[in-house]
Amino acid sequence: MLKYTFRRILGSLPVFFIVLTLAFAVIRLVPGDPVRNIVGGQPVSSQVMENLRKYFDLDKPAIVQYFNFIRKAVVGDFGVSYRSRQPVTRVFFEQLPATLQLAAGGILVSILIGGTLGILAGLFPDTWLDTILMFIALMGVSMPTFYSGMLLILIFCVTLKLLPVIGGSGLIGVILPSISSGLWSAGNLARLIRSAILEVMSEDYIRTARAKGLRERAVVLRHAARNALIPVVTLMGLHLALFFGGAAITETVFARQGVGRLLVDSVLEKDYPMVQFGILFTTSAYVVINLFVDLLYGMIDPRIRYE
Amino acid sequence: MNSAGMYRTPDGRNTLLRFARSIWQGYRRISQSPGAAVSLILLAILVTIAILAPYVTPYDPYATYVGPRLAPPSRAFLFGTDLLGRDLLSRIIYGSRLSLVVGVLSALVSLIFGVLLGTISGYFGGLIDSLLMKIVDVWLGFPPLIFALAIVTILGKGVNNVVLAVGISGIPRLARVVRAQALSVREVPFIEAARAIGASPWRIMLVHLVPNVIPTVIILSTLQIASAIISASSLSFLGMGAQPPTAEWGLMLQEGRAYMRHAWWMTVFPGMALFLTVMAVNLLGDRLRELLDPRFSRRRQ
Repeated sequence: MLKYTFRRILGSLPVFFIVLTLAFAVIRLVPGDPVRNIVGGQPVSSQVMENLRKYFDLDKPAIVQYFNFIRKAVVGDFGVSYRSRQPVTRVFFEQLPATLQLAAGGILVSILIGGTLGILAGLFPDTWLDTILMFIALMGVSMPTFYSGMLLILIFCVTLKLLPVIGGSGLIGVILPSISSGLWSAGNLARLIRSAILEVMSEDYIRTARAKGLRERAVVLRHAARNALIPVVTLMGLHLALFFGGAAITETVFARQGVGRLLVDSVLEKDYPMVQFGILFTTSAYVVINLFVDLLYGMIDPRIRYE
Repeated sequence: MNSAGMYRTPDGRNTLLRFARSIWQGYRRISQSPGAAVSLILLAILVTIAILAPYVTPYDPYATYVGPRLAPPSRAFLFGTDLLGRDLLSRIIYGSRLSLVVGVLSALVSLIFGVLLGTISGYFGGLIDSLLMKIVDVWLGFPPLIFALAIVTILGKGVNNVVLAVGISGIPRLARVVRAQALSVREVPFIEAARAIGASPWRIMLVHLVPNVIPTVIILSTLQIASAIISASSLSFLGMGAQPPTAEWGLMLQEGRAYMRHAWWMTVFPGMALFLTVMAVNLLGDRLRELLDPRFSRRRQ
């Protein structure tokens, strides 16, 4: 398994390279002069502009910039943010904890709500309970994050006045954003779990387990659950990766700090180094999470072997 | 997915005919499934209202001060008015036009290129396949919102570019699934037969492969419409899509955000319209999946 992990990491090196190249190219396609943005539209002499251009390595042809960028990126130097003039890695990792908190909260909400709905619906298919639960799940899937966020604020902060509207720090501040961003994921999870359970329960080995007289509890827990877990783990991995990069909306609605908001603002302000690093980080998170998911498969299902 | 019935006929035209027949049967079954009937009726009402918008709106959606500013819902203004005294109901009705068109068009963009990429990758296999799939993997790893945002900033704000941006970010998902489908169909004897009688790769792909992936593609693109509607209004919500004074649901929510304390109707009603529309489309997609995708037909005895 160690060998497999090592090979997978080696195999994803080209992916990182492609991502770096794409990130470099895409952000430079955005029209407009970054130096104009750096000086903030204030009238400055052309000498100042020239100096800034030189300082940020923007005075050379794109291809030279590209090789300089790659050469530095390899040793972990991703440059200085145009906006804050601080190393992009520092700015980024300052914002990361808030996003990690939100991602953890979102996944938790998703597993709690989605898991409960999905398991109940899957164990009692085609009952009124199933119909109601799946309708709730459909609502979750169809709910735009920014709408659920605003509804939550309206209900809990404006009408009931239970929570502070904005910026409640610590645990309180993360509750509503977590629910808001987790609902969509919960809906998807519930639907997936239900169909996974239905599929597994019709397998031959379940019939065998029942035939040999096992109690239903043992059948479900020991034989069904494990096998239904594989698609669930895949989906959760995908969603975790989405929470990393897609938190911008939730962060905007709740006026939170975080990586998503930082990335959106950096794209809008053409902060090249920031965007490049942000995209590299979120894509790496995706790759790493995928690797973990694949390794988890082997623990859940011993039939899966890594060569 | 290996439903034997689907690709038994080697002749392309028959495949199409069978496909048309299965659509018809699907339609007849849909009309018997309550969930699907509800979603179809909902969508029909929505589309009708969107088409007839000029005739069913009580006020001009862009006329300012047709009523007082921030008026709560009343008999004269069912959904209230916004900061500029515009009638929210009229604006929401006009917003449905935009959201539906944007959703369908961007799903179409993802669909066309997704099917193209997926079929080529699945049919040719080998180096082309692994190269294309590597690209698709990277593409999937890009945070979709940031990706769409970057495209919009490159092309400029506005609805047309939102269609492209959302459409392009939807391509890899479709390509993935279509490729898997194409891979499984590729090994079927009639493809081999077509190759043996000298059919060109393009002919095989168009006439033999594509019709067999259509059921999956229909389901996926319905669900894609739903997520495209959400993505498009998310972009508008972030200020990168439709621009004021356009009547667009995401934009209206953005405008309402600042007045949540004083005018709840500015957020509740446009969001509700968005939510219900997406739900109707999703519901339709679900039922289609049950009808067209054999994997989802109940497997219990």
